Amino acid sequence: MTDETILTVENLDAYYGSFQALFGVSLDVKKGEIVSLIGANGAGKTTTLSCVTGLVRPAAGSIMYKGKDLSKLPTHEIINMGVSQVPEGRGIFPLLSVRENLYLGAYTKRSRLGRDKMIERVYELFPILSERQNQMGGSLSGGEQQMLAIGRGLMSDPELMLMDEVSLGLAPIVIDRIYKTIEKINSGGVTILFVEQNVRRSLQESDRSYVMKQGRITLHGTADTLKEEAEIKKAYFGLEA
Amino acid sequence: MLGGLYAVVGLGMSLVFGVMNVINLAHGDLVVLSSYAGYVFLTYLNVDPILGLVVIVPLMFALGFVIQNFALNRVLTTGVEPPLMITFGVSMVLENIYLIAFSPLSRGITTTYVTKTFPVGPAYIPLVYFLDIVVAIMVMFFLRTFLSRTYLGMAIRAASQVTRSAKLMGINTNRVYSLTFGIAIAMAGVAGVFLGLTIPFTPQTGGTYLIIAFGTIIIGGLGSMLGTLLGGVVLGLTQTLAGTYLGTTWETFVGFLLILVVLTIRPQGLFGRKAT
Repeated sequence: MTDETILTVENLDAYYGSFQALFGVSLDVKKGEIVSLIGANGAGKTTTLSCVTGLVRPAAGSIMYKGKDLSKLPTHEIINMGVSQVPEGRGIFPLLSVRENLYLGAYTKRSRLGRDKMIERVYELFPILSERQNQMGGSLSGGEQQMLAIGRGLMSDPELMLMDEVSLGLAPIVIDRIYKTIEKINSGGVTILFVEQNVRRSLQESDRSYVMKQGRITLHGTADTLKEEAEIKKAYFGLEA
Repeated sequence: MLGGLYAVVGLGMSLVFGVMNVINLAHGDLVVLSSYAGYVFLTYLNVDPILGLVVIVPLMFALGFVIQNFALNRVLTTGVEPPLMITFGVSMVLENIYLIAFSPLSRGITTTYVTKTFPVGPAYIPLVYFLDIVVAIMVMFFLRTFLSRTYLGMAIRAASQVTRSAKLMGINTNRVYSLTFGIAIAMAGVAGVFLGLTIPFTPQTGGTYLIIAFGTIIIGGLGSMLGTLLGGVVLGLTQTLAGTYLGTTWETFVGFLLILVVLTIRPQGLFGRKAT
């Protein structure tokens, strides 16, 4: 890990219509890190990721990625700069085959030439996808779809990967395997910012964490310091801490 | 045999609806635009309209691209009505341009080969009908190959399934929409020239084609290319038979009747998937 910052988000405000979803959100991610964004439903985690990839236009604030401001660029240009996002709910193309889903992951000019090499790498990480390559995306199980979503996000050979709730609705044993693979992806040089509702899991899997509540960052620090913070339980009621 | 062309028109409509969720009310009028273009080529430039396709199809593609890119893309996020109103507006403008430029009289593209027939068993089939079905199958085969084999085709299918994910793949969805509309209108262009060769048209014919496109999709079932082809053929045959045995005034009536019957008995279409 170096000290070089790959992503800096500063004072982000975002709205859905007249509803303000983000209030001055700031965070940064250094090259090679795994950073997690924790919070309850509706805390603004997904909105924050969506601002980075341009799916949601921030009303104020800046998003600097490798020295360039992303906040006014269209999504397809941001993806072509080496950012990828594994969407919430997986967002698999149900009527495309597994292979076609993966090919689309390498749609950008930047990544299209490396497609065949990347697909080999994805099949190595998730052998089941290789077995299922001719099946429709919609016919896969939840866990397989999540693997496909991650594999597809990897196909663009990204430098920064944003992952949204990869554990949602999956069995613990599947979640374990997915996080193991995420570690592998990270040690292969990909910086990762992931969103997670499960606090214990987040702290365990990341170098640093940000805690969000009602559209604001309320806490941040390394996993070890955060574990001691009792606030984390207050910031996040409901599930186990 | 006209049914093949109906299917090409219907496929363009269902492509646009499937990808952009836009009901293109001007689709029939754009078909007629191409018929008039073929007419202009033959009558004023003395060029065979089939040869004219080389110019007409790219122009129709460009027109479709422009309509989507500069009008429809701007209102896609604002709900269903604004795109509907735009296509309705395009339809009205086109119909009135036809009225001014070509008068309300019926026109036809009359080439030397249109009236030729050749024997098939005991019957004589007009050559132009044979051309119609061959061209229709070629266009559909081309569309199918394009959608399944190329990156852009894959992107079009992706954008029609999960728009948000398509964007996250780095697909410029607005551009994909414009290209899709261009392709649909180019297909309408091919169909328009051959329909013009086969049957006469007036400035109002677009409305009939629009209904036929709807009918083809309804009978065949949305989302199945083979279904649309068969739907077009069924509708075309029904109309032709009704025209022959009951008189041409019955054509449209029997066509509508068929659509109603299919809607009642099999709402997902003869060959469509059941809605889930």
